[in-house]
Amino acid sequence: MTALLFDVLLALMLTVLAWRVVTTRELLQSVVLFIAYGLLMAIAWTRLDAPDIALAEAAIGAGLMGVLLLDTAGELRRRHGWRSEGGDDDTA
Amino acid sequence: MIEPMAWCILAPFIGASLAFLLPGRVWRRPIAIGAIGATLASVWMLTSQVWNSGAQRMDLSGWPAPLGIGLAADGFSVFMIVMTGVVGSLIGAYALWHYSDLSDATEPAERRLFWPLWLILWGSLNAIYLSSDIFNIYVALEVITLAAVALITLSGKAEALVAAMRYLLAAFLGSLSYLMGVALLYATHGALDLVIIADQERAGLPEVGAFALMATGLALKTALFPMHFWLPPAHSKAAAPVSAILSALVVKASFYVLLRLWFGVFDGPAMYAVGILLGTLGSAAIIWGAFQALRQMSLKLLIAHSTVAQIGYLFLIFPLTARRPSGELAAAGWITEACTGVSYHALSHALAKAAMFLGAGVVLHVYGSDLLTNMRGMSRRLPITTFALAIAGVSLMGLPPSGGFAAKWLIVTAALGAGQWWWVLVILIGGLLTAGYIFLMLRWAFISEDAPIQLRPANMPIQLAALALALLSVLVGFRLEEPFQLLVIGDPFPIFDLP
Amino acid sequence: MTRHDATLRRRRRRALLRVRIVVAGAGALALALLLVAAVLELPEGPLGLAEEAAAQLAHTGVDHAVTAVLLNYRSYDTWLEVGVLLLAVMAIFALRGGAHLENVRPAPRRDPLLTWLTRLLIPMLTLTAGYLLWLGKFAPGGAFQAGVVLGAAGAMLRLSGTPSLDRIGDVAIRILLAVGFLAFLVAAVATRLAGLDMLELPPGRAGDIILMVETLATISIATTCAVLVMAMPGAESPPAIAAKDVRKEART
Repeated sequence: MTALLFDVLLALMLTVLAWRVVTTRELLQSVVLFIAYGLLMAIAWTRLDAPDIALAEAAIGAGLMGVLLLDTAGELRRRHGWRSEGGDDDTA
Repeated sequence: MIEPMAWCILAPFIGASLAFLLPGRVWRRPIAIGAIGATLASVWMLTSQVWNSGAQRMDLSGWPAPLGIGLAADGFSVFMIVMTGVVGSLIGAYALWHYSDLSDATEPAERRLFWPLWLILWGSLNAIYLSSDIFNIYVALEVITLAAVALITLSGKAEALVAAMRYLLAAFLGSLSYLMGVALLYATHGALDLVIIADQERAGLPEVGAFALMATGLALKTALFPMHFWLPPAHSKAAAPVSAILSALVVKASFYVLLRLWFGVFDGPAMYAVGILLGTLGSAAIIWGAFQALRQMSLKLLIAHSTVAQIGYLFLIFPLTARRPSGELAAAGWITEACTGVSYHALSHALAKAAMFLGAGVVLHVYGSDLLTNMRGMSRRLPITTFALAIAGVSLMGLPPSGGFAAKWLIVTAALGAGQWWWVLVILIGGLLTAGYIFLMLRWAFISEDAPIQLRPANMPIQLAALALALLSVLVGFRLEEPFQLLVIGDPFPIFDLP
Repeated sequence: MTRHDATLRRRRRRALLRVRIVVAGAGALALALLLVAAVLELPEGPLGLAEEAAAQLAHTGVDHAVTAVLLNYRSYDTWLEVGVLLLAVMAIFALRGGAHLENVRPAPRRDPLLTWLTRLLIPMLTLTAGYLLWLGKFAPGGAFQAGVVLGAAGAMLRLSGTPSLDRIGDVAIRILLAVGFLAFLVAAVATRLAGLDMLELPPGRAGDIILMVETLATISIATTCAVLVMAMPGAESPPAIAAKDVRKEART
């Protein structure tokens, strides 16, 4: 019963996080949410009896991707300043 | 002794590794020529092997399918590999000139990286045509996508980067959709090998869902209307040899996979409706792409939109080979014409489109821009390139005698035989529109220039690559017998109605 | 352009965005329904190759089924995947305008705390990577995980401003990047020349060959990850981009 509850909670959190990653307007916040999503996903893989994928997801999905995305977000801020309303500024 | 099949993948991969590792200034030419030669030799060996002793199959890693991965070559695979080999090596010959500006002492990325990228891409195209494993096909499609995207970015222009990014996202979406289908098929059949899956009983909804997902993903990668939005910028902003590779070869790979699935895996009551849907989208592509091509003011964009239209013809194979809900074939008696016609269209389009993009490359080099209005006086300044563009255009229009004519004739015959006359109407309108944009394009070449302008000279060899491709696109229309005999080896279209 | 135009344009873009969200949402919903319906109709019971993969495990040279799939049963797939990584690096090089790391700015930050932490962590990360690589024979682990951990060590060096891959030669970097792909290439040719199927590993020596190939793959994967971090757009000295654009303009 606890296991089922845990799984349902995990699935719900994954869905909510995925939604937030896409809809958040602040780029940096979105990146941090994405890293959190990667870590939760790793747990989900463990729950699905796929420890190999869990390891890879934690290392690549949360770790390496996190570093690259944070770095890119930082670089964007340095070059263009913050864009709080992302959708409105893609005039280039 | 290594099998010719394996060589077709190994030879370009070895060339790519060498081209990546060795310093470019000294080694680029020998490696490029050596890799093209070795790959062509492998293709020749494979062709004669399949021609003489029928379809081939080999196991990898010592594990026969389902546990391991199998490579398989039948007539259709060899047909596609020969197409890739001929078109690819002529584009390679052009690229040898294009990336050899000896006056520049530095070694910029585009010259350094073109050969490793293109050779890996060539090897993985062959890998797709030889693979018998749906997951392996997924991996090879990924390799192709990434190599293609990197090739687009080589030109270094900002608009090329934007186009490459859009292409990357669209192609990844397509890959993921395909991968979901693979998962469903594996869960249904417990195997990934195409032959094993095809031999099992058809499995209803999960299988139909799998096909829907895979077909959507592959159609997105093939740029079927209305999922073609990424193609015109991606194909027109790249450097000329890259545009030629993308338009002539890369879009055909995902279409090939879709055909394999259509004939191997998909069957059932929904087949006819799906076939009609795919054919309708193809028809929309023919009209829409040609209409858009008519409106372009730059040569490369015009050619790219023409690709959108020409891809549409490929999709006419689906309604013509579908099974009606009652179980009978919609075009019984005409399947051979439909299949050979569409295969032939893939071939003649690859040749003609590569010729046009290489010709556009020459124009861009000489005139410094590819605006149609700038091409004044071209017929006198660049007679060979003008001629190449014109006869490639003849094949695209489907005028006799050309490869394009043979292909369209066969498709029209099949459509009439099947009583699906409306496709004939689409082909006719498409042909007229194609003639329209080809004439619009060539019109500027025959207008004499207002004032003499200073232009860069173009040397002969680069013009000859485009000419050779254009001539081939016409010449393949003269000899149909051998290609047709090749296409039926190993029964690649299992519902072929051979005499 | 007047302020009014800008507002209008913004409003139109918002509307378009809303349409896109609705379309994407409808697509996602349809996909979800299709998947649920399809999964409910899937055949019952254990299906697939897990059993057979486990049954043949004794002949693969490793004791962990996933490693057996990746490095033995389906090593061809893994070869192409390693090729994907090589392509990723080439794409980064293409974006940077040269197949080298020469114009990478030296990492600027030299925070003493970070340097201290790096000194502490690098040996640990290296050890962990080695352990993960070795572990792949028996348990979850192997080249990909080990490579990423080792690559993280490279990223760490970069963050702390310690010179590492960015200071070794051009050719050396390219060799490190390619050895993984080359290992599979050599294995493919060698096995066939030895009279085996392509990429077939003789059961007696399979374990050793797998460890060797995985070690080389780890090196390439680690270098790839580290280069991805080092070659980030921010790391490129701006003149390199500008010079490239100017040259492009001149040519076209």
